[in-house]
Amino acid sequence: MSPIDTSKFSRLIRLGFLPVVLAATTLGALGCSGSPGVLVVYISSSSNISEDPLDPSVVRWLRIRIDGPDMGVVTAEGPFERGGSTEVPPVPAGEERRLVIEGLTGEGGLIVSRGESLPFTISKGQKEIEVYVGLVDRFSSAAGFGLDPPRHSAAVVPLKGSGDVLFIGGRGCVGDDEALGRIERFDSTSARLVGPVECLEDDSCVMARRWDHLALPLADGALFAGGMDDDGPMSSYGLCNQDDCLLAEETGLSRIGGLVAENPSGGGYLLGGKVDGELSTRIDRIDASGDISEGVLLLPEAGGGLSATIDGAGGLLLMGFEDERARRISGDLEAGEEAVSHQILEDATDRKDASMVTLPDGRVLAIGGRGADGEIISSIEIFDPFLEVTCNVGSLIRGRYSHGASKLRDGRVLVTGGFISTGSPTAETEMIDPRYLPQAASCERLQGRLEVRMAARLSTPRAGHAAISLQNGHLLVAGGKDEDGYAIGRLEIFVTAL
Amino acid sequence: MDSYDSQNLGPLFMRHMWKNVFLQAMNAHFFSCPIDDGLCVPVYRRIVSMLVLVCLFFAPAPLWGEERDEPSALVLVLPRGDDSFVEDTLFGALEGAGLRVLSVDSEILEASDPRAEWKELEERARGLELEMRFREAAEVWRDYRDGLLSSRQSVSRPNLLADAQLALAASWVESGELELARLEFRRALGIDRRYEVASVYNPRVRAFFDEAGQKGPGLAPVPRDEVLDGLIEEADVDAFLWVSIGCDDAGWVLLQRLRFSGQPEPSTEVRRRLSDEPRSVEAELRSEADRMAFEVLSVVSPLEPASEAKRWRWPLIGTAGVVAALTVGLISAGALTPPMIDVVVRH
Repeated sequence: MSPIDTSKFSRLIRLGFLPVVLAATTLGALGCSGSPGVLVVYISSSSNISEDPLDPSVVRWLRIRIDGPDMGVVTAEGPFERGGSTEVPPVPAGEERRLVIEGLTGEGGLIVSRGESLPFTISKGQKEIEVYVGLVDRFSSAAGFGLDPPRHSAAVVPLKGSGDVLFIGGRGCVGDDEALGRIERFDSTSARLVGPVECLEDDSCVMARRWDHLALPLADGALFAGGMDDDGPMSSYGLCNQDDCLLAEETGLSRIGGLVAENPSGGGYLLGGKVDGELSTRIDRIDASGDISEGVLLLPEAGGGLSATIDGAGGLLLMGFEDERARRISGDLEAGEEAVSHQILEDATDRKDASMVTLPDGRVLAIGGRGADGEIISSIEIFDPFLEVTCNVGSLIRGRYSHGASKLRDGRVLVTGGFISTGSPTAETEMIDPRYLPQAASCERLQGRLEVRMAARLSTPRAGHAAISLQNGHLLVAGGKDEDGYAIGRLEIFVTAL
Repeated sequence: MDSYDSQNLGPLFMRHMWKNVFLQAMNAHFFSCPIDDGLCVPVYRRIVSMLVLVCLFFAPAPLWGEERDEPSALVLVLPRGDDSFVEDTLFGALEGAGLRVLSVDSEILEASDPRAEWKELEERARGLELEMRFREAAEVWRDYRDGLLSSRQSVSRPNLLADAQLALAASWVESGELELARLEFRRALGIDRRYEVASVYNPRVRAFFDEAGQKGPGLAPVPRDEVLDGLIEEADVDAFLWVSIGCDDAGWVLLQRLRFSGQPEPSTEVRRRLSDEPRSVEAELRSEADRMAFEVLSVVSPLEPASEAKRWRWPLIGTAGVVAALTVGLISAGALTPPMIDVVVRH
């Protein structure tokens, strides 16, 4: 067995092969960790906003903060100069990053403007995002900041996954007022409408040609149902996600108007409105995945100005019935009447066209509205579903109905617009701070404890609108009617100084 | 531009091939990093490219090492056909100790029928049996058995040897030499422990075999050194190790005979008594196998001058191991530590 001559191999290895391999390997390994990417952030003060939130004569200092669940807070600040840029220290790539930009009057000065992104992913390579910065505690809007083409009575629904908002269908504001089959997505980070959402198997989006319909957020999208088109009531429903929509089969979900009671755990109930020209007493249930249970329950009374919410104990709280009695329905609605408990809230002031907001602690605020004889209600009551007490805790500075009431991310509630005693919509808003309301079985401890103050005005007086809290803390106001009864197509965005 | 002729075409081709393979591996590893997916490369691509790299580092070692530096082949023959626990243990331990064990049956010998050479003896023994001259038949059977034992082919056909051994034992039974019969029968079992006594033997012989088998197999006869030398030459191996296991009156015995290529002096038998306790036997066999392997390697390998190959083989493997570990470490670190991304806010 003769050995082969390996001296050449040996020399090759000793002199060159292994160092080359070692170097190549090291380079190869570093290939993934070297050459970091760049995230370029553009400030979008939005061309359709009338006031400049970064007016150089006011904003002289910029502060930027980036954080995420698996990293600390990275900050950078420096003088603000129009057209300039601010470099932020490198940030580890990862998901759920959040970026906040604040414009200040100077170093250590007052925060004049603010913007916040939705959670986003920072990855290798170059990426660009746009962050809307608006004047804090102000509503910003401008002509052109609205749906295209202009329309009203669209269904407005936030998407839980992306944090964006869908505008589905609606009725033309000009021309012959016909239904428009168009679905648009509002990008919350840039505060822009980013074009139509595709309707699968339906190029002209006929399925979205409807108005006065309802929309409910699902786990991974949204459902819209009912409403009317140019030919009459519609009984079909559609499902949408971030990018496209699909028309589902005809169902018995026909309903004109009405309201949605969203379940915090997903899905919710559709109720109220009119069916076959009559006020509806039917409740339809939609679960988190979009499965529909039609007519799970019939309400004992109909209501023309119903408002509803789901309290912290899972009960469905309803106001605005014809018999002027507020109710709470609890139990398994799908199991039939026997499994459902109807509770009359004797101490609660029944109110039509009110707003109800479920607080983080499970209690419910009932705000404003109007009584059976039409008088405007300014009182604010709180219902505790655990102690089963209803107490008056304060009142609005300006009584109103058909207004919006939105829970902000910091726990406060912003009341917007609505009809006031003059019979016209108002642009006034009020900030309610229920964060320090004690929990008590006795109403004495709660009487007058709610802090209420006037807040920024809407740019357009409106009532019957939608006010949606966005995941980045901003508030989007859409729809409603103006003082002449015309539908409003313009959007408004409110920025809080969190 | 490379210029080449027919003589350097091979190296040129190899150089280009290695370059291409290496570049492809590198390309798969990091040149095709997608921008938006959050990771440098998908995990599966990272693993594949890492494996390619590791293969590139390790490929030369086994390729060159196998040609050059494996221990010299050693033929191990167990003179029997089955593979019981004992043989499995021995085989495994010897191979684990670094010996390369070849199968005699399949790799070395062109099978031929050794009986042709001693056909006359076999027929004569059977003739004597028919004439009830069993003692003479036994003598002839012994010659026949010895003839087989002196044949290289017989070593690869243990059942043939066992046949002859069994015929010898049967003749001793018939001639009344029961002690001899018992000895030869147990030797037959030592050659092939699963051997079944053919129905050609009469019931009395078979009953005797049944009784004799109760004491276990005997120690099988060992081929002569000339036979082993012939096998070594024919198989082109460095040594031949004969191992058999059997019982004597005191219990189990391991018998070993080691014959090296070109060994001038006669080989010697080494007997080692094994424990009766089955659990101990395994440990003893492993220990004995290690000792045998050590003895073989101490004669075969170290006597050769240390070759060039041996000097670079272990440094190569060691370096390749370090490089591979470094690669894995760095890639893991790259995978686990997110890259730092610059952020620029444009006003």
